[in-house]
Amino acid sequence: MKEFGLYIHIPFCVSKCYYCDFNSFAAKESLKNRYLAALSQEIKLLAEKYSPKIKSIFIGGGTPTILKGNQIAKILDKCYQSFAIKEDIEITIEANPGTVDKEKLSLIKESGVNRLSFGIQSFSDKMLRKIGRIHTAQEAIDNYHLAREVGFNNISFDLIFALPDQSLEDWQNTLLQACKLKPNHLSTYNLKIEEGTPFYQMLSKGELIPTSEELDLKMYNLTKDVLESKGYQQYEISNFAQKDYDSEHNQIYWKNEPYLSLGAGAHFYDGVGRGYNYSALEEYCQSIEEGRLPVENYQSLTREDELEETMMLGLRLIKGISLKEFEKRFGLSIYDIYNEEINKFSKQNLITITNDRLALTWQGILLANQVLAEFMLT
Amino acid sequence: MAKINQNNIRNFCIIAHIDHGKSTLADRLLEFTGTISEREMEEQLLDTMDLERERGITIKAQAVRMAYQAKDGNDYTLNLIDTPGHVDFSYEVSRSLAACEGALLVIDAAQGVEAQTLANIYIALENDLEIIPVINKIDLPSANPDRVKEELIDIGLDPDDAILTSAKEGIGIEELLERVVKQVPPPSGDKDKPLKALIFDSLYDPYRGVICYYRVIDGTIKKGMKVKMMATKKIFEVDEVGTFRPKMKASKEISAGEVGYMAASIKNVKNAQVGDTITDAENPTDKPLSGYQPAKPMVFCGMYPVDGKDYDVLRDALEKLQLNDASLTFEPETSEALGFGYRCGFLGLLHMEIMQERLEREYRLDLITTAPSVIYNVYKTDGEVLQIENPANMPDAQEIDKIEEPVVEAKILLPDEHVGAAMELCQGKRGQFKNMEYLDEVRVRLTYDIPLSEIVLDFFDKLKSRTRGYATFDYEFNGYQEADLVKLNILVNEEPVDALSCIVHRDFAYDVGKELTKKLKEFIPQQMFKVPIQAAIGHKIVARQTISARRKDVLQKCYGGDVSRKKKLLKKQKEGKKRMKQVGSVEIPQDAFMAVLEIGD
Repeated sequence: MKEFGLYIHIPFCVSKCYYCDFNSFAAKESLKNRYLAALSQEIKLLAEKYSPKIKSIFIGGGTPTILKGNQIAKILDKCYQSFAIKEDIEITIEANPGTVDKEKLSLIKESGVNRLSFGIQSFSDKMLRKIGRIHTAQEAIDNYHLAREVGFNNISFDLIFALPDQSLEDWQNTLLQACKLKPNHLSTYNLKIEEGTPFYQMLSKGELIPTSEELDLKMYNLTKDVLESKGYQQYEISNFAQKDYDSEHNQIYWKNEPYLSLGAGAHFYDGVGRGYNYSALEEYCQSIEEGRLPVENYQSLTREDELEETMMLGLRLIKGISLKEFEKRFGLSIYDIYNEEINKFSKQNLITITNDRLALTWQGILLANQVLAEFMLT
Repeated sequence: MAKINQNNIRNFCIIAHIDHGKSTLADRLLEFTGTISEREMEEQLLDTMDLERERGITIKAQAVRMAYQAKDGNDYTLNLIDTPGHVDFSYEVSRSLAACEGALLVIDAAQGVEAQTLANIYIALENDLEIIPVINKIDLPSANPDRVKEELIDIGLDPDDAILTSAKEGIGIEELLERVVKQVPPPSGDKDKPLKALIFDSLYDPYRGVICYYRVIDGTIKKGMKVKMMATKKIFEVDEVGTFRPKMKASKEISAGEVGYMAASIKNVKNAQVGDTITDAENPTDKPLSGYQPAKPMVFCGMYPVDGKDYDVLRDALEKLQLNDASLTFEPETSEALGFGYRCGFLGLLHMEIMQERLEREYRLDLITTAPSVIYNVYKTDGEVLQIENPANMPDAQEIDKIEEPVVEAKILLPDEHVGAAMELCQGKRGQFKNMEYLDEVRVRLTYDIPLSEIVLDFFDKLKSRTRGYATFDYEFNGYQEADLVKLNILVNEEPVDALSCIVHRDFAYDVGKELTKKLKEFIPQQMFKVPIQAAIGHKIVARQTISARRKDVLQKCYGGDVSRKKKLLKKQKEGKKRMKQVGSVEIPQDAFMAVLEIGD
C-alpha cells in the first residue's frame, strides 16, 4: 500500500489579513456545513481512487479552528474510517489565536490532533493591527497556555518578519517573547507582498514602503542567532525545531514525496503528477455532489520535472539532498545531470558536499533563489 | 485576357500620416473592386509581414491590380502601389511614387492636416503626381471635415476637390474610384519604344529567385526575353511576368504604363536594386531612368548571439535576409566581451530594429545588439587612414592625427510653435544651423548639418517627443567633417567591456560618461558581489557608479503544497538569466548594450 501525506484545507476565516493570498473566505454556517459534507464525500472518493496509507495529516487554512471542535473531529473520524492510517501519525492543525478556547482545544485533542501550529505572526499589538490580525499578543499567549493545559506537547509558532515599518528591535522582541514560551517548533517567514492583497494595493499606491534588503537580511540573521542560542535547530530555510520536533508533514514536501489533499484549492502530488482542486467553493462542492473528484487541473510530471523539483525542494532542507537517495530514485548520479552547476556553486561557496549530502551553505541559503533557479532544466 | 488599353490604366499610391487610415482604405478599395472577397479579407492586407501588421507600418512596398468598371461604362485597370512610411526608407518611397501618376492624400477628419501630411504633399509634387485629397474617418464623433477643408486651403489644395470617406464604414469608396479614373492621368510612354521599366521594389523568393516589382515606362516585357539591369549591367532571361491580383498571376507580357512583376532566376536582390532600370538586352533604351542610388548602409552595429553556439545560425539568417535586402551588409567581428558575431550595416535605426526583430522571431535567435555607430575616417600619425565602424577598433589616442565623421544635412518641417524645442535639440546634438524658412504662415523648415552619429542615437524619436509628433524629418549624407572625438571606454567590475565603448565628442565625454554609467547601473541587476561601473577616456576615469551586492534572495514562504508556484518563480528567474551575457564574472542583460540610446532623456 502506497504511503502519502494528507493535507486538508479549511478555506474559512473570520476576516482576511492584509498580506494573505491563500484561498480563504468569511462564510456563513450553512456554507460551512455544505463544505464539510463535501469534504467527507471527498475522503470517500479519494479512498476509492488511491486506497492510500496516510502517514501524516495537516489541517491548514484559512483558519481551521474557526470550525467547532466536533466538526474537526468528524473530519478526522471520517479519515480513520476510510484510510489506512499509520501508527503514531503526526496530525497537525493550524490554530489562530482568538478562535480557540479551552473546550475547543480539548475536543481537538480528543479527535486525535497531536500537533498545534499557532498563527502568532507577531507579539507586537501594533504590528498585529497593521497586518489585519484579529487577536492581540496577550490572547496568543493565553491560547498557548491553554493548549499546554489541555495536553498538547507539540506546538509550533508561525511568525512573520520584514513587516511594514517593523524595526529590527521589534522583531527581536517577538523572537524573544516566542522563545520565552518554549514552543517546540517555529516557522519564520519574511513578508512577501503578493498580487491581489491589500498590501499589494498599498504598495502600488506608495502607501507602504517595502522592507529594505539590508534590514530583511539582518532580521533573518538575527532569527537564526536568537533561535539557535535558545536551543532550536534550523532544519529548513524557514523552519526551526527543538531536537526531534522537525515537522514530519512538511518534510514530505521537501523530500518530494507524495501527498494527497482534501478541500477547495488544495494541491497534491500523487507520485505521478501534480494537481489541484477547484478553489471556488461552488465548483468544488458541486463536483463532489455529482460524485466526481473536484480536480481542476492535473498534470503528469516528466522526469525533468521530477529532477528539478527534487533539487528545488530538497535543497531547502539544511541537511540537503542525499546523493545515494538521489541515485536510487533516478538511476543516475547527481553529477551526471548537474556537474557544471555543482562545480560552479561549490567554487562560489554557495553549496557544500559532505559525505553523502549536497547542501546549501548559509551564504547559499541567503541567495537560494539564484542557486535553485540554475537547477531548473528548462 | 483582353488587351489593356493604355488609356484605361491608372497608377496611384496612397500617402498618409501614420494612423490616418491608409491600410484600411486600401482594404476597402480591394473589396469594392472585387479584387478580393470579404471572406479572404484580413486587415491590412497589403502589409504581409507580421511585423508590419503589429507595428501598423509598411516596410516593403506592395502593389495590387484592381479591375474597375467606371460609371462611364469603360473598364479600367487600377494599380495601387503601397509605400513604406519612414525616413529610413525615404529612397524606396521616392521610387514607388515615381512609378505612379497620382496620389491619394489621406487626412484624418479628426486630426486634420499634420506635419507629415505637408511633407507628403511635397514628395508627391516633386514627382509630378496628381493629388486627390481624401478626408477619411468622417464616421468619428470628433470628425470635423469643414475644418480640414479650411486647412486644405492653407496648404494650397482645392477643398472642393476633397472626397469624404470612412474606410471603416465603407463610405465614399465608389466616389473615390471614380475620381481616380477621372483625375489621375493615364500613363504616357510608348509601347513601341525599347523597354524601359523602373524597379520600385524587389524581394527574394526561395523557389523563383528575386521577384522584381516594376512599372513599365516604355516598351514591353515578356517571358523568354533577355533583359539587362542598367546600373549593375547584369543580364537575365525572363522566366515569368505577371500582375498582382493581389496574388501574383502570370501573364504573357506587360506593356508601357502597366505595373507588374518579373522572375528571372536572379540569385540576389543586389542584382535588381530598387531604382534600377530594366531594359531589353538586345535592343536597349539609350538612357536609364534618373534617380537611381545604390543601397548604402549608414548605421552599423554589432550583433552577437547570446549563446555562442548560434553563431552559424546567425550567419545563415543574415545571408537569407540579405537576399531580400540589398542595403543590409555584414561581416564577421570579434568582441572580447561578446565573442563571435557580425558587424551589420543598415539604412537607419528603424531598419536595424526591424532586422533585429526578424532575426529573433523568424530565426529564433537570442541576440545582443550593440549601440549603433557610423563609419569614422581615422587619420593616423603614421599616415595610414582607417575606416572605423566599430568603436572598439579605434586606435589609441596618441596614434591618431585626426578623426572625421559623417555629417548629414537634416531638414525638419514643423509648426513654428515647436521651433524652439527643435533648435535646442539640434544644438544639443552638435547641429550647425544652416537655414530657417517659413513655408507658409505657420510652417517652418529648419535646415541643420548634424553629425550622423548623433542622428542614429534616437534623434528622430526625441524630435518627435519634443514637438508632440508634429515634426517630420529627412536627411541626406553631406560629406565628412573633422571633429574632436574621443573613445569612451566602459569598465564593468574593473574590466573594459569593448562592446560598451562609444565614440563621443570631447566636450560631451564627461556628461555622456556620467549618464551612461548611471543608466548601466539601472540595467545591470545586482550580482552576488559589488560591481563598479566606470567610464574612462584613455586611462583617466571620468565617471563611476557602483552596483551594490545582492545579499539576500530567498523565497521563505511555504505556499502550502503548491510547488508549481515556487517553480514558476525560479523558472522566470532562470529565463531572465538566459537573456544575459556573462562578461567576466558579471551578467549583463541584452538591453544594457543599447543603454547609450537612453541617455539624455
